[in-house]
Amino acid sequence: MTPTVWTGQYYDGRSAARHDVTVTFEEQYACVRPAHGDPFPIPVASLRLTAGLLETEPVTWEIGSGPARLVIADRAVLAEAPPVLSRALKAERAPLPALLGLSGAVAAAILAFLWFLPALAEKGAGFIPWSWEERLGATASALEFGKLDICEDAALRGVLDAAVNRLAPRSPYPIRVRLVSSPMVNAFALPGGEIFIFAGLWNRIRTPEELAALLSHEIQHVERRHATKAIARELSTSALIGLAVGDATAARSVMETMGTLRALRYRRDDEEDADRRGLEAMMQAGIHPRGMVELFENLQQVAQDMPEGLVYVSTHPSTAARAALIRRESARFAGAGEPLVSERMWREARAACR
Amino acid sequence: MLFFLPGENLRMAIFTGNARDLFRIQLANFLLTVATLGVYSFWGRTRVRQYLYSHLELDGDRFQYHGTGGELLLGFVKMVAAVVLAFAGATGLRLLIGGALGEVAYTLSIYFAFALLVPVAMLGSRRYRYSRTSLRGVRFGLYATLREFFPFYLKHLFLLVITLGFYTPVFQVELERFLIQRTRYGDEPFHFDGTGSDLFSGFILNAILFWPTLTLSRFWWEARKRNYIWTHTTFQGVRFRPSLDGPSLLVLTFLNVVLTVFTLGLLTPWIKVRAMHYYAENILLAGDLDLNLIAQGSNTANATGDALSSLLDLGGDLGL
Ligand SMILES: [Zn+2]
Repeated sequence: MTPTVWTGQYYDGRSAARHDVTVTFEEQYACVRPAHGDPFPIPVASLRLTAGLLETEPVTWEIGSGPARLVIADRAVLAEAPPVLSRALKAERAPLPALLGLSGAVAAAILAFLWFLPALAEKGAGFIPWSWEERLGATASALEFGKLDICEDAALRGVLDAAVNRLAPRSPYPIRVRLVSSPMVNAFALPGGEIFIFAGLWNRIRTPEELAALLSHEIQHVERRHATKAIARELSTSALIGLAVGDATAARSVMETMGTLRALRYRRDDEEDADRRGLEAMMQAGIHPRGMVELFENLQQVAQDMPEGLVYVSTHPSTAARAALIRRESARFAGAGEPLVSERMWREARAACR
Repeated sequence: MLFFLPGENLRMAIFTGNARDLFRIQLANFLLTVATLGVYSFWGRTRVRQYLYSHLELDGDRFQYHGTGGELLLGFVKMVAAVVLAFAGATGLRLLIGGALGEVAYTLSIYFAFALLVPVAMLGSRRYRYSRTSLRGVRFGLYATLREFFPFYLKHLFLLVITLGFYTPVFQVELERFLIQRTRYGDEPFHFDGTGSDLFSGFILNAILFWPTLTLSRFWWEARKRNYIWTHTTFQGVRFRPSLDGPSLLVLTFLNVVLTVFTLGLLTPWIKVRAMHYYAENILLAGDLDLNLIAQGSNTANATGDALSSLLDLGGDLGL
């Protein structure tokens, strides 16, 4: 069989001269015959397909490292020339397996950022000695809350101490509750056992059981180390963000938003945890859990009454899920419950810090 | 619209690509780019350029694009390193000086760094693209270095600032003169013989009509400016004969924006092909070229400027 003769153009890469040529292919060589001049061979191994896989392109090979080239308009040549000539060289293509592997690794790193690292940091926080937590809380207390106006009253102290003794008799933390003379409706627990109740919330509390419910919830935040763990999670990821993207970039704010969303999810879990264990602690102390139900309803009312300054309500939203949990758990309590303190003590304490 | 003047030998490049093939390429690019968290986009952009160049035909010969995705990626990495260095330097300055003065120094040095990056992008992107474009086995090239471009750029930037912007048409024409005079096909240079003052009336007209026409007058100004620049560009004594018009540029830009926004760029091939046809049909060559004696030039360029310009969006040319 005689080989097909193809017509095409040859450009030598030294000048822009166009040479009309005929080409025949053998196993190892393309034999090029210019219209004027002597024929010459081009090794097949030095031809690299750069165009011609699409119907609208003439078949084009670069010769060596270019830019010399051989062009044949008839695409049938791809079927007849040595097969190696119809494949584009790998060097021209993207290193796809490596890229895909790399993206997988990056995706895994993002997963690590979102779940694994905070979980690890949280586990680590579980091993922080209590004394460190106390010192952390004391530092925060001194720095941020040293300026707070604390209301001291013997009757109030008696009620608060009684509640703490009943609710957390064997706590490893020195639980200390203080009342802040401020109209804010708020309460929070610092790592290490420091609990602050603001007068705005204190004035809303109607019964000793509601107070017990509030304290029981906050004591669980302390004992379950919710604040410490949240700090560990945030520090671990903000350190990672800092390492990854440095300062003042859009990427940073995007990642921090993701971090905040994640923090919200954790906080909701922590609140449910505090609700459930707080109720448990109340029932074990023999305090009627309806205090928790009442407190919850009370706070719902507060949310409706005054839309501003509701710090506690905004960090403890009255979701249907929380309400259902509290009602369900408290329904298990059978007895009548022992009062937290005597009527007289409660009245005296209520009069304090008005 | 074409003006065929009697006795003149007008030549036109022909675009033979079609939107369907380009769409397939872009669809594959899109999917791979998503799967590789964006890294494939460098190879994708290269494939689009390869397609567009290899379907542009002049006198029976196709253009060829030689750039690779790896080069673009490397350029991008260098550019990111430069930006990080700039921020690190500025932050260091802020810490070193401190106080309100430190903040001012930080802001100023960031602006300064970006002012330096603009000419790097301008020169780098053209130099890279020309050096990766060939016709008949001979490469184009922009034979200019940053060392000569920087003083030129800063001088004209200074004049632009002290004339409150009235220097703009001269600036733009001088910029083109600088770049075109240093552009070659093989060893044969392009020439430019325009003067900025010719464009002054058009510039003023655009300034007056800019807001009353809701900025649309800029497309007429753009057409006039580009026509002027092409008209005053010659190669082997052959002059270009452009006939770009404002309404067409307006429509092309508008459709490009709409398709990019509403189809995530997936349907832009139609507008890209339309733009290629438009430019090919409206930028003609008036005269015969003799390319046979043109020898290969020697030039090298890297892709940093190309990455920078796509980041700063100086390309502005429908991504061609
Ligand atoms: Zn809580």
